[in-house]
Amino acid sequence: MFINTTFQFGKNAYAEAINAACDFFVLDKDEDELVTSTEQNSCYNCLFRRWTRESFTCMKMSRDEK
Amino acid sequence: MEKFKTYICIDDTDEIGYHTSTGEICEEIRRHIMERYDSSATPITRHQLFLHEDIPYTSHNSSMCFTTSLNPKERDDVTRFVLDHVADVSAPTSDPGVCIAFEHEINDLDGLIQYGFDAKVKVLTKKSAYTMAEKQNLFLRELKNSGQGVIGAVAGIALRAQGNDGRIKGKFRIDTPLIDAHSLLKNDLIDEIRLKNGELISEDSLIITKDELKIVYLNHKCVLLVERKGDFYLPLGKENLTEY
Repeated sequence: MFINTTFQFGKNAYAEAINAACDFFVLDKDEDELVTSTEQNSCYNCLFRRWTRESFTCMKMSRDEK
Repeated sequence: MEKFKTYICIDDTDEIGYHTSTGEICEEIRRHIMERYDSSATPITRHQLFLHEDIPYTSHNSSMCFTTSLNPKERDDVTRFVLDHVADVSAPTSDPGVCIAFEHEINDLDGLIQYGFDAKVKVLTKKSAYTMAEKQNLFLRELKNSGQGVIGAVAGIALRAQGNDGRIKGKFRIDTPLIDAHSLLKNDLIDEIRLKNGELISEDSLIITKDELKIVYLNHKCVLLVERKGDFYLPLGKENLTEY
């Protein structure tokens, strides 16, 4: 689902972002930055996502080089 | 002493994984003003700025702004408080910027607003922020590290002054699952209820309010956007508000 650390499905792939959520998921504490429901973990709501123009990069992957 | 409309905006106070956010720090400042001075304060708006690899934002590149009414002495006191508070509570590796302005002292509002629009589509420099602040008579200060947040701090005031940008910080829950527009508008947090095409809905319209409500800032008003759902109206959810 990621090419290097970039989520390959963009900003509107809500189902894929749920599927991509990993064990390192941490809900962003800032509720104003949550962009989808919190009922299921989604990379879109994760503290470690960094938005880009087209998608987001996973800073946890960047940091840990996983 | 006469009070004047005052803009306060902060940006770039966090780091990945930090325990607080720019929005929370802005809320603390807003609360301090309301508790300490005989001044009300507007809700905080979140302004999305340009996402580009050359901009060293933390995770979303947005700034937070609100307005209040202060006299010149209060403004100076508040400025000192904001600088101390943001320096204290911002993340160690953050690059905070603070911008404060009396609206009536802004020299060229249109020029300032253009800077805000630019910050949504261009990579801007710190120098441009300081130049704009000097030209428009804004107080602008960087507090830590690179101080890159000065760009968003100026842009946030510009976009707030323009009046058609951003989401209102926070979400709001109504205690009933269904409410008519007239009753909902009695809530101080909502000025208008509109369809996304701009059309106002009639006051006898019924709105489904089982989920929390997110408000956007349009035409200098706090607006609840809704879509038609059969005989009812459904507020737009987070997924449909990402462009604001």
